[in-house]
Amino acid sequence: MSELPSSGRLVPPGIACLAGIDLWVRREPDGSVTVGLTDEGQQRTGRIVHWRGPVLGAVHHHGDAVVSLESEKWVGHLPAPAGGTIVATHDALTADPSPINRDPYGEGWFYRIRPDGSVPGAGTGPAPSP
Amino acid sequence: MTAGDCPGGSGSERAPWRFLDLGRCEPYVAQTFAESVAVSVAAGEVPNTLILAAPATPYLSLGFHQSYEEEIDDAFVRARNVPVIRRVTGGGTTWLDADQLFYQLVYLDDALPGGSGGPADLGRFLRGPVRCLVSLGVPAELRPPSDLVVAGRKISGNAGGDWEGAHLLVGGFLGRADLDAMAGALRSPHPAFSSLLRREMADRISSLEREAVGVPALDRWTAPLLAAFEAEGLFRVRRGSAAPAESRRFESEVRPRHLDPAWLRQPPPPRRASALVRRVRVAGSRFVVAVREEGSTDLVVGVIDGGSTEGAWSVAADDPGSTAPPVVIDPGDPRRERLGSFGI
Repeated sequence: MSELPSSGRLVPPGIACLAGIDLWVRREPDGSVTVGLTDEGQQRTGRIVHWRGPVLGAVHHHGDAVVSLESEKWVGHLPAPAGGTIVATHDALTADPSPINRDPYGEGWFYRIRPDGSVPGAGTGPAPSP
Repeated sequence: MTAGDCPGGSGSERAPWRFLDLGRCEPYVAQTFAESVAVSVAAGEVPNTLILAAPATPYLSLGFHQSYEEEIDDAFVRARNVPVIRRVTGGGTTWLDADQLFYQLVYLDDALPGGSGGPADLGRFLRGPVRCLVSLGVPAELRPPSDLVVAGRKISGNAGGDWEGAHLLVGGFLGRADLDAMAGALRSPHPAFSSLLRREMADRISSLEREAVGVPALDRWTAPLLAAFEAEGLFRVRRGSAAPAESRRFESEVRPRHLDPAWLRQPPPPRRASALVRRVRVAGSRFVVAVREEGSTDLVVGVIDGGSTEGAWSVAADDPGSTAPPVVIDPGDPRRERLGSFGI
């Protein structure tokens, strides 16, 4: 079931927002997990002018700072919601981070990670069909 | 302020912050010791902490996401023999020297009534430095998101961020503005760009010296600033010292990270195809910009404020040593209108 956070943007089916860290996760059919910034997170951060993501193939532990965001005068470092291997990064955001503000649950996605174990909100198995 | 004004209690009723007075110290300590403190604050080993410091010698500070190669004039760095430090907070390249006083706040989510963390903290905590300047006779005000200005001229730059599980807010008062260094340290595509940047800085940047207050001795800043934070209901402090673990971590992790070329010289991010050659924020929404003319190798340099072009000149990019004056681009010229689109 979709959620309607306080910012008013509808959270698409299959996405789980992780309380306290402003991230959303979505289990993909291949078992990887897509990660992005929630709508509330992007609103709190403001207009994002820089994004730096993880390195493809890098192995991270749960909680590692794998993404950095900069809005006007504020830099935030976002933790990995789970340990695992980075299998895709949305490198286009480096040149143009505007989709993070414009479409946080779609074109604003950050990266996909193949988790070592369970991921809060995304379980351990492939996502159910919508 | 009374407790009734501020749900959760005023700053003077909450647990006191630790006050670390680092005094005049070498650049890496002045700029980066707070990163070690952040680890201890995040772990709950020490309270929220206010650091005051001043660099003993000059240096350049690069914004977290900036590229050394795009920003810094290497010849200037060699001639002045100054270190360049990539800070963990955002914003543009800054020249820092002994005529500036830094305040650095390291704190957790519950530092302010109603919660803290995020860009909104800038406006909330900066009430303290504003009040301090006013108490020194400088009629400063906050220009959001984070500049303190006097009659529109910037006198304090500030930035924030999250680091190692704690929040950081760092800023400083400009005692004396070395405009030659501020402009000269920045990589420039053309002498006309440097000249324009220097002129704009002279118009838009102030200092305590310029405001006829003079540059107070380091110990003259402390009491007014501490009093201002408390009077604004933000926090009160208790003088403390660095924990041994903070000093050890600084020497074993923080300083080595900043001395590592891999940290300082991170590759520039890929750019969208663009005619934009160089853009430097002077203050607020005001930029000095250089763009390549369409169908030409020449440059248009100009000043943009809030997306509107306030002045534009054409210069020959292939002859930067030329003494020919830049050619004024009049209002209505499409090159001038096009320039404005690069100021956002």
